[in-house]
This record gives sequence, C-alpha cells and structure tokens, in this order.
Amino acid sequence: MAFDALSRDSDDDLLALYAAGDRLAARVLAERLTPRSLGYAMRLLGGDRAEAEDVTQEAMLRLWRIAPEWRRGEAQVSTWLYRVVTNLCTDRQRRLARHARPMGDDLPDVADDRPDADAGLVQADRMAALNAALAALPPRQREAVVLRHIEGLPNPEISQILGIGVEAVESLTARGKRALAATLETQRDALGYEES
Amino acid sequence: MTDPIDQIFAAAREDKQSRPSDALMARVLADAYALQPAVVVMPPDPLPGWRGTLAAAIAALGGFRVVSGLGTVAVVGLFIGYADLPSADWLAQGLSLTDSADVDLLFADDLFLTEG
Repeated sequence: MAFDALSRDSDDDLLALYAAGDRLAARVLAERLTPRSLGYAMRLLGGDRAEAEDVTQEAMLRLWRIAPEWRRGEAQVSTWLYRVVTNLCTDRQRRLARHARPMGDDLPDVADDRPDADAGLVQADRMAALNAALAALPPRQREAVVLRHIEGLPNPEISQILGIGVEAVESLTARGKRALAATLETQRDALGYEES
Repeated sequence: MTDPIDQIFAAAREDKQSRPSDALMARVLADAYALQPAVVVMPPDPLPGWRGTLAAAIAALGGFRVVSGLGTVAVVGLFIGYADLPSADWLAQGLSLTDSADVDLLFADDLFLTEG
C-alpha cells in the first residue's frame, strides 16, 4: 500500500498495521506523531531541544512497545502519547530541578534597537520569550496552556491527558494565559507585537 | 487585529524550530523497526464439512501415503477373496516334504553297539 493511501488512515488503524508487521505504517505514524511530541515537549521543557528529543524518542519507543496490546476505542493514540510526554517531561523537570537552577528565573534579553533585524531573529526571540514565560508558569498551567493554545486540543481531550475535569482545564488555561500575557506584556515593543 | 498573546501562540504553531530533525526521525524509525513484531502469517482456514473431517482422519492415520498403502492391501484382499482361485497349493509346493528320503542315523551293524 502506498504511503499516501496509508496517510489517510486513523492512528488506531496504523498502530494495528504496525503491530501486524507493516513497515510503512511505522513510517506514517512516526511522521505524524513525532513532530507533535517534540513540539509539545519543547514547550514544556523551556525550549530545551536536546531534552525534548530524548523525551520524544522515549515516548515513541513506548508507543511501539504497546502496539501489540493496544485496544482500539479505549483511548486515542495521540491522547495517550501526549499523556506519556507530559509524564516524561515532569520527571525530567524534577530531575533537572535537583541539579540546576529553576526554569523561568529570568526572561531572555531581547534587543530593543533592531531596525534591520530580520524576521527569523524576531521569530527566534519571540519563541525564546514564550518558552521562558511558559517555564515560569506552574506545571499544570503550563501543560494546559500549551495543549489548548499551541497544540489546539479541545478541553475534553486535555482533561483526559492531564487526568482532571474539564472545568479544571478551563480554569488552568484561563489563569495560565493571563499570567503569560502579563509576563510578555513587558516585552511587547521588543518582540514586535502589533497593537490590538 | 488579534491579541498579542494570540499572535505569539500562532507563531508558536508555525515554529520551524520545533520540527524534528532527520536524525531524530531516523532514531525513532530505527526503534520502530527494531521493536516491530514479525509479519503475522495466518494459517489457512480448515476445510469445511466432510472434507475437513476426511482430511483430519487421513492426517490421524499417518498421511496420504500410509492411507493409499492400506487401500491397496484392502483391494488385493478383496480380489483374492472373490476371485475363486482353483487352489493355493502351488504356493506351498516348494516347501512340500512328500518326496523325502529316509535317513538312518543309527547304523544297525554299528560295531560299538554289538556285543561280541
């Protein structure tokens, strides 16, 4: 079966095909789920790409291992994967906290006077500022905000990932977004926001 | 005009920095292939009805070669039984002792058995 044909299959179907020995299904699943895992892990880990890559590889490894026992319909594959990434990131943050200064203690300095700064640098500065501001949030708020506003998941799915009620998710995302906005507000001019 | 925080969220969704490198994809795929179960080969469905029963009986008796040998022996036995052959004595002719010769193992004039 061609790659394009498989790319229309659900995660559930692809995981079943993988467990039956289909190598192409492994490729489609990896290309679909690895970017999501990495992006989510990077936001939770303050932009630390090396740590996020380790987390992503470990989460995907667990997915491959569980494939033969995966029971269809009990959970979405992506929901399960987000939960694994969340737990792995929590473990990493606890370990890092024992060996280093807490994340989010300081926001990156953003050059204010850059008339000729190119768009790539502006984007990099924005992401650095976002990562630092996210790292300053309490872990649950950070996870809820990233899942809702960057990963674009609906609240019921976030509640399954975090193991809390939908109302708690709404509260966490609202408070997290307000705190994030307040932190980034101090750098509005430097980050090149447009006036609302 | 959107809220600044929503602008930065939108930028994060498009952020190329968080896309996986080729090296990461290669590691993930290597893990996938290493842990992938072997291709499952399903055994053929058993034959339905009397054909399935017959196949099972033949297998229990030792397979088609054994069963065909048994069949051949049975047919030969029936042929002998119904063919009304004239006699089967000819079969034992080579073993007949009717033309035997007497052999005297004790000589009557044995010197050692006569008193003199």
